[in-house]
Amino acid sequence: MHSFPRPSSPTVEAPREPRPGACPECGASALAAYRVMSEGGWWNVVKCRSCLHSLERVPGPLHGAFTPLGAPRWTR
Amino acid sequence: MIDQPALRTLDDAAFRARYGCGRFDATVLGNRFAYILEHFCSKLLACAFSPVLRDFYDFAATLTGPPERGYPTPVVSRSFVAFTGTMTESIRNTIEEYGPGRLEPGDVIIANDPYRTGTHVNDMLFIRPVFHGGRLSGFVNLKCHQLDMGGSVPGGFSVTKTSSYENGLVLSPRALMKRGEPVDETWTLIFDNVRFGELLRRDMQTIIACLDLGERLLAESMDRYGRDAVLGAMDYVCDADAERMAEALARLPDGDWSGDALLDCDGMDASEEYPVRCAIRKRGARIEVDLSGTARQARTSINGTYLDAKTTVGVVLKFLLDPHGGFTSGCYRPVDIVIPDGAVCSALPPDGVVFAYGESTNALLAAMFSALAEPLGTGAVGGDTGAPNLHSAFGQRPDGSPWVSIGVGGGERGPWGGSSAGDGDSYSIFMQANSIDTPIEAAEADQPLAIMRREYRADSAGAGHNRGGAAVLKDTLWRAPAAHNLFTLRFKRPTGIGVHGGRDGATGGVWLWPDLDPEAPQRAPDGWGDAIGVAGRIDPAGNAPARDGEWQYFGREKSWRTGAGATFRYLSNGGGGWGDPFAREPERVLADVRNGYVSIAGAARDYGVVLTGDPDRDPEGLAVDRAATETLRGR
Amino acid sequence: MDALIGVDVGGTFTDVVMVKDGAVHVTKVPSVPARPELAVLEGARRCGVDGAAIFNHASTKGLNAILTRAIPKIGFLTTDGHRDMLDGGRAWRPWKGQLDPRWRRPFGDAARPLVERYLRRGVKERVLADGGVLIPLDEDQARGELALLRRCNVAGVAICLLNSYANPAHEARLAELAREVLGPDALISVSHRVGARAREFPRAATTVIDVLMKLVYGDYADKLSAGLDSQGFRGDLNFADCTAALIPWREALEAPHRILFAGPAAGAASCVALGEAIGDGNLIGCDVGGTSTDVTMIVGGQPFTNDSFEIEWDLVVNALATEVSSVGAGGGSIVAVSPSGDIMVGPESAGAVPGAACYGRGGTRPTVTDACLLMGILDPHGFADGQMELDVAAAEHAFATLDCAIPPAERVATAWRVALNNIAEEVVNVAIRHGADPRDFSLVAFGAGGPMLLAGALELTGARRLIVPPHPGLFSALGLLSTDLVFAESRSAYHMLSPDSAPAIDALLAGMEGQLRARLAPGADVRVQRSFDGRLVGQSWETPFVAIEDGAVDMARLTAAFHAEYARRNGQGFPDMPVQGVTWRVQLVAPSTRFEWKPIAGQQGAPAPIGRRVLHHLADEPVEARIYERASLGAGALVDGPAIIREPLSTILVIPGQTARVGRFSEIVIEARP
Repeated sequence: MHSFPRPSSPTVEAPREPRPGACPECGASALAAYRVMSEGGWWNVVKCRSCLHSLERVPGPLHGAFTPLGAPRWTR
Repeated sequence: MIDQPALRTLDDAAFRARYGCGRFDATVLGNRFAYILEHFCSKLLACAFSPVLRDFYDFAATLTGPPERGYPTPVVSRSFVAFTGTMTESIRNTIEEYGPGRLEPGDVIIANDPYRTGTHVNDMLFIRPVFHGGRLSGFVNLKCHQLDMGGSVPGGFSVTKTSSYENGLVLSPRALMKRGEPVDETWTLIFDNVRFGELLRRDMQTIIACLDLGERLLAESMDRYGRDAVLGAMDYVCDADAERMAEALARLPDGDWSGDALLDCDGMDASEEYPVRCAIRKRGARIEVDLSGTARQARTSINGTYLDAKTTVGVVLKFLLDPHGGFTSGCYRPVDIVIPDGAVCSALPPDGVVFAYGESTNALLAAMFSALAEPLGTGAVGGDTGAPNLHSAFGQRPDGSPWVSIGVGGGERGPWGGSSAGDGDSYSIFMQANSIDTPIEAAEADQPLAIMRREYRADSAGAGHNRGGAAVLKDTLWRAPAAHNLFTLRFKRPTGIGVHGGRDGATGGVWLWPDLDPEAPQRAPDGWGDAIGVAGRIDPAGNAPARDGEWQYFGREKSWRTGAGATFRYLSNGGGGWGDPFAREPERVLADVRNGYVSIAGAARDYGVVLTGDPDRDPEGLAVDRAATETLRGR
Repeated sequence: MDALIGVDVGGTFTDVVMVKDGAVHVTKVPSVPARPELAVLEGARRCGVDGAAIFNHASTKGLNAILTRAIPKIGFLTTDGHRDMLDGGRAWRPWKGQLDPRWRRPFGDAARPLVERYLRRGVKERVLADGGVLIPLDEDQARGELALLRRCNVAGVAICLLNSYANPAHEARLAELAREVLGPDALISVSHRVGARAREFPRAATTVIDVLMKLVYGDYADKLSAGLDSQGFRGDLNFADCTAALIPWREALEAPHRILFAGPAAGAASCVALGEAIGDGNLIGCDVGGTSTDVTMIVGGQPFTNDSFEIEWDLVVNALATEVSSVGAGGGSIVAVSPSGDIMVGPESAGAVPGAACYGRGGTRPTVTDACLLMGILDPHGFADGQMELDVAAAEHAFATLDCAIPPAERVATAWRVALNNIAEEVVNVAIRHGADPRDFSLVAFGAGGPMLLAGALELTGARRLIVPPHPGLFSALGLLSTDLVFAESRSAYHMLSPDSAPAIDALLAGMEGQLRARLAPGADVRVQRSFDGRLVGQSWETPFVAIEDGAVDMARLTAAFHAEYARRNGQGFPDMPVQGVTWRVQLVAPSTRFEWKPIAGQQGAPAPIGRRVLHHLADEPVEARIYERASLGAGALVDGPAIIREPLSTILVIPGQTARVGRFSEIVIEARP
């Protein structure tokens, strides 16, 4: 998307999608999928909420939610 | 990631295997990277025309590794801290969108879109790709504030813009130079849309010359040491930073903490507040900073983008955990930042207008200082003045020519907080900035104003074993009629948060005396009665600043028009205290009272120290009443 | 010719240089911090001052007192509402404080102020930028503040009112009131007399430092003068300013902020004089001391002069000063290990005490000097003219105890190379800042550590050759005999460089020249040098020291001169932008008898080494270096590296692949062998 409406609620939350399974490092059942900013830019991760171990880290879209309207094909 | 052997244990063979060079070369090259930036920034400072660059240091330079290494940033320049974190991403964003395959020697690629490169449109990014042996081998980069990028407000500084389209020229990644030759349509696009084009053009030529120098120095290093060694050294410097950050995190206790801070309002009206929240979770050497619960993006141009939020998180962790190590892209390795879309610190186009990006980032800094105070214990640091409180004034001279004053007549300067090392300085700037102050005499020689007072206010510093810096009270007498634009967004709550048992600093405000009193052109420091309370928490009875006073909205006039002889008073917030004020040594409290930082009443109330004597007329005659102090302190 | 004597008083040593009958005699006397004149007089006694014409003196006594805050209590009077200018400075922080939340201004109230806030008093008055008076001086209120300062027993007072550079009347009157209340002997410095320059903080800081210098020097100069007199000295006693220009001692003490820090400037002056003798005007002076290396650039035979300098971060002094850049790498720099296991050198230094581990004075941390000893560059038995034994085992132990994965022998090699890199980078940076290429320059190696280190750094800098003057450890003191007497006056007055400003500027310059001439003997033989600091309209900083030709001011030529100097300093200019003059300056230069370089006898036969020593870490394998006595080498002597050339107080290193040639004036020129 290149054009966004102002959020209608006064505050905003970053969504996290719970995932089934146990953490291979600490054993807790607290996995979730969400997006983070870290070294290297945006990442879509699956992490254990309890010990913060990363099970998956996949590069996210370059500008996060924003995709420039005129952008080259590969960034869409 | 963090599970590798500690760098200090690597013997030479292991080091070489990992980095493609020996330790000595890596050390020398790490040093060299800093000097390369130093060299071409020196050239920029010597040759640049714009005072915004030369005095305000409103620029940053970095070296970046090539795409094949993930664009590491091993070094950032000694200048505007707030830029540096954005540049770790914005180079990648710009080059990936432009297309690394299209790059050629002698190119300069530019971009200035806040949603792609952070900060605001005035901060143009200039990137020179560096080739070695025909291969793309890295980048030298400068991000520099340009005086103007067009748009509805000259210079751009305004908190009342309501859409991105008011900002002026937005440049997606494109070539300014191609193979060493200007791309005419890029230059004309810029100069057909901006004010002060002549000045911009000269400074842009200087910037390109600086990039030429940087490229030459980096290429020479690759000639001398080899491409692999240079890139290996970049990785090493970033790895060392990542390791320092991870080790510093590991030394903190594990836990969950949260903090918040407030932007009082926006530039439209006083109906909406904008809290900035962070929830920090730390486990071992890993940290996650979640900004969920932060206010949605504001209706006017006080927003920042996700890159500014990223910068602030990195900068805060550096301030608190690794203050002497250099800033690299590696410091984010153990850090995950969860950023909701469309927040005031991660605004989206076209309504999430970005200009005063510093406001939300200052609030984020305060929220994080607050959240981390508990795990840091004695390592916590008190909060700062919290805002630039920029004052702009416009008028016309008698001959009809316009004059402009930006950043001189406001509350631009204020205190830092106390820490384990001692009290905070009173006359500084918000922590993410660093720039040289404009002398009063220089301002008065150029502009129709007289700064009648610039002095610290007693009892405004957050009390502590080590107190914060005092609030700065500044009275500016405007000697010509003018229209004044203010933005002060951090007065509802203290920004100088107290830590480790220390107290918050006071909040400040803005007052206006519209007319000159010819008998008393200089207003008394404690005289408030006949002024208009423009901003801040003000006691309706006496009109003085008060902790629980009524908050006044600065933006109830879009522009404050005054005749000649008006005085604006800015009182900054006070710095946060560190440690229990009742543990501050009585001799130091005596010195504070003697020096006017604390009153006699304040000494008793805030520090539990009872003093006798008259600090105003007999400062050396003050004495501590030890018995009464012990009683008051409960011992 | 009568003898000339130059004395450079440092924290550890007082260097004395005497030139008599064309010969240079040097001696080093340990300094006496509590009574520095004693070391000076001892040095004078060793030389014999009876009949000497000139005694030129530089000292860091005042500078050190201010840096260590060993200063008396003084008062500061300023415009009411502005007393915190001394705490705020220019309100910015250095790179190392960029991300340090505990950084504080070194002279701020939260750290170590020069004047405590309660002694900084506001006076009810206000002058505007155009010199107009907004609030008249309230003399009763001022007397009240002065009375309070008197009750607090301040030893002196500094006065700096806003905009006094434009209209000094209130300051002048306040100074009179101060004498009235504090007594006629009160030590007072007034900002418009110290230097009527715009910008209140540097002017205030300079004024405060000026009165502190008066107090610190106290009766030092009287004692010195009396002591020299009793030794039969009847010549001129001069103090050197921060450009190494000479000022008669009584005059110097009327405005002693000018004499804060002459040593590095004297080093640059010495480079200029040597350059004149050998015909090389493009030099980079590298004075390698114990803690730092001071780098100065000489371009076309001229050093760069700035109109101010900082004695600690942001503590600005408005005084003409030779531009010197400093890097924290010197002989005493401490070798340490970074958290990720790298060898670092400096900026911390072991100083004179305890000093290097090999000094045996209790130092346990390895230093650059220890590395040089272990490499074989320094002779353990011949150090400091044989007065000191160096302890090799202590040096080895210091390196062995470093906590890192690098083998001990490699630590020495690495420390050496890191130190050289640090110095070389600073040299290159200085050149780049002036738009110059080091390849067009010769390095000059002096100071205690220059000759033993800089040959190793030559190739890294890209400079074409290295020159080691004779007596390199006292080269700066020699520079005190290489400059002239200068009487200077300057004043800020904002004038656009346009024809209608010419009369005002002419009057201003003539007025200053008149005031200066009044201080000299009638008909004194002086050269008049006039200059101004100007800025491009729209900028906030000035380009200093643009020369003004003699005669009535010609605006077109003045403007062209400004643009040329701007381009010279910055590498590029903006010749079509309007220019505003800010500060105007007149200097009367009276030539002083100077030291002259004299050719030495030619080398007879091949140079004969006096010994050999193995040097480590200069090449992949240890190499054997021949050792020579400098005094035995004549003009034209050629020595191939690796080699050591000894003199009583210095060691010169020539590395493998280099050749050293003795020049006409006994300077040693080291170059890469073709």
